[in-house]
Amino acid sequence: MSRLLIPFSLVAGVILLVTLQCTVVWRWAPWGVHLEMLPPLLVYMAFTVNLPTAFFLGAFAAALYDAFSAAPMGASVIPYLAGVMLFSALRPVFFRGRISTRFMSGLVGGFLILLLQWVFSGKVTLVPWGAVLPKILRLSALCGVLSVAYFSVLDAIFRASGLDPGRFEESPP
Amino acid sequence: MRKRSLLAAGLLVVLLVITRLEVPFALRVKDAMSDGFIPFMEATTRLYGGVQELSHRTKRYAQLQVENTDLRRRLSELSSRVAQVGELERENREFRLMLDFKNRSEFKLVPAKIVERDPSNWWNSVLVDRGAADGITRDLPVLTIEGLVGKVVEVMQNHARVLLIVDENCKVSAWLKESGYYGIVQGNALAGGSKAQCRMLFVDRFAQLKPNDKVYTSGLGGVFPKGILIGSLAAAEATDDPRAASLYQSLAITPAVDLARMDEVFIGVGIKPQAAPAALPASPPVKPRVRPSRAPVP
Repeated sequence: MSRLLIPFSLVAGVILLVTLQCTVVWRWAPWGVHLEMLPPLLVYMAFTVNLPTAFFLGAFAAALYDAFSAAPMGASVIPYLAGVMLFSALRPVFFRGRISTRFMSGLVGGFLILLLQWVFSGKVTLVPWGAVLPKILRLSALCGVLSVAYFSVLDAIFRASGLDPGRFEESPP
Repeated sequence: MRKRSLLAAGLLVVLLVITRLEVPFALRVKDAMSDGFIPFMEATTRLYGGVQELSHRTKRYAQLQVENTDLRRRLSELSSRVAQVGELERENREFRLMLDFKNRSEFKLVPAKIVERDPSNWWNSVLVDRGAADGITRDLPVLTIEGLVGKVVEVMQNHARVLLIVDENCKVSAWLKESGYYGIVQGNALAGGSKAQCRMLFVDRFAQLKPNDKVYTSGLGGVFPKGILIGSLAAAEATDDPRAASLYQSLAITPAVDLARMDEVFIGVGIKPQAAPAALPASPPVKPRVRPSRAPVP
């Protein structure tokens, strides 16, 4: 049961964040952009659970995100799964306990996911890159900050529940 | 011993006689004694009064505390009610305006409530609580009292997604009311500023424009009916648009509707049999082309 606690908590986290994104987050825009709360959570997932679970969670998050957006259903799947794969692959070489690692992972993951989301939105020809790139960079920086917060809060919660979120769990053969 | 007793009794009798007699001496003795004791009496009276006052105040303080708590609670209740009344008044005013607008408008309008906003930074859309069950179909115009909001792009059984006019994928055939020029209004939320979130493309390069000119739907696209206010001209000078560099200019347009603050919208499901043209501006000077298809491009 304890093995499933982290994935189930992350599913609940995804639902909560998408709900917040649709109902609350749009009301305020720091740096002229609306906070993207899911990409840093995907980075956290990639660092915390095994690849198949992270893949499933990423696909679920993307589907839920697209369901509440005007984007075509599935438009976020490739960006999210690319982010999950990248950080799952890089996990063994990163020390997840460092704040700088958490921040940079959130920033790079956010940048990659948001850039791909933008490319897959089909609006590339409609808006000049000069207008979009600064937004992506600002969003990525915010993702980095959120990533630090997610790692700190979620790790503390899981450790309080007797789990070790930093332990590398190999996927079953 | 007996002599002393008799002497004491005699003195007592004399004193009693003296004090009972209103002779000047007796009065002086009385006055002296009174004067001597009055301050003490006064002090005692004051002390007693003080104690009594303290007791009274203590009781009163306890009562006041209870009364204060009660009054604070009632004040809080009343403040809350006043706020509720204010909110109800505002809501009532808005509903009256909406009802009036619905009755005056030449469109058959279905009121809808916004239940969710697009979570993505790359899309500008809202989800409303009306769907196929309410007769909503794709490409229906969505508007408020202030003007055009967008169009329906996805229809579910009980919900519909509305693409806002500030989204780059939303294009509306439009005309400038005073200048009389035509063009296409397209969303520009990502590249535009906080106010001028739309741009009007394909306007004659040599057009004589008037500041703050109102922009209305022209009805030429077949998607949006004519005469719905879109916004106003924010900048008369041409913006940098490489696609319209030679023959046309593009203009910055400020939407008439505050899209970030709206909670209720109307979905135009058709035209009323007897239209009320007074609610709408004069028709554009070109006969509208009716295109029954669902194609979003004007």
